[in-house]
Amino acid sequence: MCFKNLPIEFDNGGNARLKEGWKDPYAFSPTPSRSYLEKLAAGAAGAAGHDHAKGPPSLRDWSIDPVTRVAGALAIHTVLDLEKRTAVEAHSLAMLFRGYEIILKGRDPRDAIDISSRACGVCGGVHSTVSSLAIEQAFGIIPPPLGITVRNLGEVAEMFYDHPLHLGLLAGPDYSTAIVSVTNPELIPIAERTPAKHSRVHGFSTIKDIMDGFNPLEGKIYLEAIEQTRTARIMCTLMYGKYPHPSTLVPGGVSTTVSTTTFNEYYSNLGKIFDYAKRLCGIWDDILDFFLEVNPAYALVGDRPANLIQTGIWDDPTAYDATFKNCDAWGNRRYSSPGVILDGKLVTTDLTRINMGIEEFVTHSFYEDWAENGMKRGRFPTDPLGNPLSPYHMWNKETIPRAEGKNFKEKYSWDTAPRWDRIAMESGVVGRMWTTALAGHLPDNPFISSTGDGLRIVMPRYEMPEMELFWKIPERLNAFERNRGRAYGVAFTAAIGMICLQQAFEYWRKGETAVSTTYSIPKDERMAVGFWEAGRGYLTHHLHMDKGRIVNYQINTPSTWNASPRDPFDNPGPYEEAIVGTPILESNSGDDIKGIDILRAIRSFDPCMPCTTHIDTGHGIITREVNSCGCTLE
Amino acid sequence: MHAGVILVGGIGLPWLRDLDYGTQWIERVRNEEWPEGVLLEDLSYAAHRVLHRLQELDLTRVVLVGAMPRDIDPPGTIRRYRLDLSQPPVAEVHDRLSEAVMGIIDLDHTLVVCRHWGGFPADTVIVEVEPEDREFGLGFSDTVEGTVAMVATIVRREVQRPADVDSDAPMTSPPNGAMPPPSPSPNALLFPARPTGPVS
Repeated sequence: MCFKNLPIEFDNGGNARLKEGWKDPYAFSPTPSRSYLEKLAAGAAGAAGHDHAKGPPSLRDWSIDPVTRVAGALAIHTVLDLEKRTAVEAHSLAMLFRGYEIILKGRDPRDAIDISSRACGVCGGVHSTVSSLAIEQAFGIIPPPLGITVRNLGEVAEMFYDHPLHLGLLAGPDYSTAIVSVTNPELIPIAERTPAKHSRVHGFSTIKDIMDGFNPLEGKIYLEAIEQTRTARIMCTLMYGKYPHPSTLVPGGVSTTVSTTTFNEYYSNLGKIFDYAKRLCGIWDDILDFFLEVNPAYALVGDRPANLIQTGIWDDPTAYDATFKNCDAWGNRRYSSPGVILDGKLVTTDLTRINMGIEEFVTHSFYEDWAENGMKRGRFPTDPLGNPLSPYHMWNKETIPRAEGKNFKEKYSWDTAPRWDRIAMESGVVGRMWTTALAGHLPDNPFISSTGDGLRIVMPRYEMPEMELFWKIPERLNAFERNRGRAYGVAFTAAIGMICLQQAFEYWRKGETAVSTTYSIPKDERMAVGFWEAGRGYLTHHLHMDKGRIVNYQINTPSTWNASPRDPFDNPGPYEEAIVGTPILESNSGDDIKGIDILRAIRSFDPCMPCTTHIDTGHGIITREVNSCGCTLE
Repeated sequence: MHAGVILVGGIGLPWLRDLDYGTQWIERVRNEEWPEGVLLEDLSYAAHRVLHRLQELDLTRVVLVGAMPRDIDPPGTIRRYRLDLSQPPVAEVHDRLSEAVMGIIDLDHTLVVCRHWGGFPADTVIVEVEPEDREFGLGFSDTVEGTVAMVATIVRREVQRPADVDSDAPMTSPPNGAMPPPSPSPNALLFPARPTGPVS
């Protein structure tokens, strides 16, 4: 069975339908939210292990506001058990409201391409792309093959911006000499005498040398990451004409002028990525393995169940037809597979099933519950193929800001709580490779193959010789594996870039040089969805249009999932899950605790919070920070 | 005539009324006639990306235009100051860069990050306007609209003055950070806010 918690079953032909005999199939009674102390008193699961004979636990509230080196305004509240040196409670607070859904109402659907692009300052093209996908589905048009390929190549290039900057500038400093010498000085002499296993690849002799490389502003890895973003920008510009926030992504393809030179220049830059990826994988294998070998308890930092959701990216130009009707077929031909993984097992790769399992709750978010605990029927009880949809599905969602009841029992975040089959799901680079490895849908190619237990990736020769890399599906999902996955994700992406580039040359050679198609704007009612991924994972834009205008437009991003607050069933979101149980492994105590282990847990997700054109509808406040990642919220 | 390129860059925050000044101002004057060797560009992107762009050009002078809410002068005040190119504090560079790489556009982020890596030529001038309307939307408030022609006049004077001549007033910028000193200051040339209307 695909769903355990939603009232959906499948007939023998695999067609979904609501289970019979349910009056209000999606209705629920919210579970009151309980603190750790309340759970402890009740002897509830998740609060076990405390010896009551020893008296009350030694707890301490510990908050980080704002969390730095993440995009936008994220605050974390935790409760630490100082005796156990473990985080026992967590709340993830997205502090700002975005408002895109409100801005887009009533506009020409094509406006969504430019306006939604501003939702993220890192992923300057992903929102434009997914918006184009939604619109071309609504318009009923199909891009020419080279248009799809150019879009793929642009997305590849965007990943080369996202991943290196996270690894080098945001997460990397957490493993630097500058930080570790403050939080765990006892590790420094060990790192000095520990040789780096991959030194011949990356050039750092010892682990201490790698840690020096992560030092902010001066470390070699840090500086190379900044330089790397230049290469990424050049590659993006070749495909998009301009970056960030390209204006060339349109329904039905791209409006970029491309030529043989365009692809040749892209190729010369892609070669640099091949070598960068080889070094990066070695660096991160060495630093992460060092920590895990010195203290295996690091495996508990940011640990949570392997529940993952991905929407897939990089379309096969011979399969993609933009229709919802065929989205399972073309989705399964993507070079990065869509999919849902529960407890490490692949449940589905079908976009229709991924789509019908999604609900977005606001019980603990600063919004009105438009569906009244599921009692109210949604405007669209089914998708265009007749599959059931929850009233909390994005096609049925209404964005009604209401910042009331500000406390952890009621509402505490501007983020919503998306769930799949009412389970908190994580999305990211590691999930992208995990689903692709388990799905086994990769077409024959010389660069990547899924082996069932991982991905074999061939990085071609550039200045460094050809190298074969293997990313193994990790035994557990924790902070370290998220970072390792992101490093290997650079190689994975570069390999896909090479596949797509070869396709581009082939289309060009055959004279199939068109990159866009014509269209007219339909005036009747349409519903559509764009499935794509940002650097951080899952990305959907759900569109409802009528009379040539947007009726409802809903953006759902990876950080919407990852940063989500509790759901109506008192289940925490992924950040919260990852923090609870994270051990305090730094050598500081009491007031000197820096929280590095919790920060490593959070930053491993590569949070992307709202900093863009957020509006407090009550007072019209606009913050100074504009044009950054507004991926998370409304 | 200048040997290298003079870059006039606008930095703004799209769709945020007066805060989008740099971007919109550049768009308005882009098609006017400018001296040879003057390049007008929208630099409304992250600081390190601006750094990369500056490194690509052979620059003799940079003039940056934007609106910055300093809250030290009345809305519509134009501040012109020459950028102090001394090294900003390392911690400030790291903090601002960490925000910038996530896409936050901010004139001060750009000034600090580019100063740290020596991205600006010695002759770099900032022309910034104190905004009034910081709401979501297009266009400027009447007060800030009234500065457009004056800023154009100031920028033309900047691009046309000979090298090594620092305009007509003593100007420096603060020793640390990108913030200009509070007004009134002997170090920044202020063009006070004026009533809405054409600027002669």
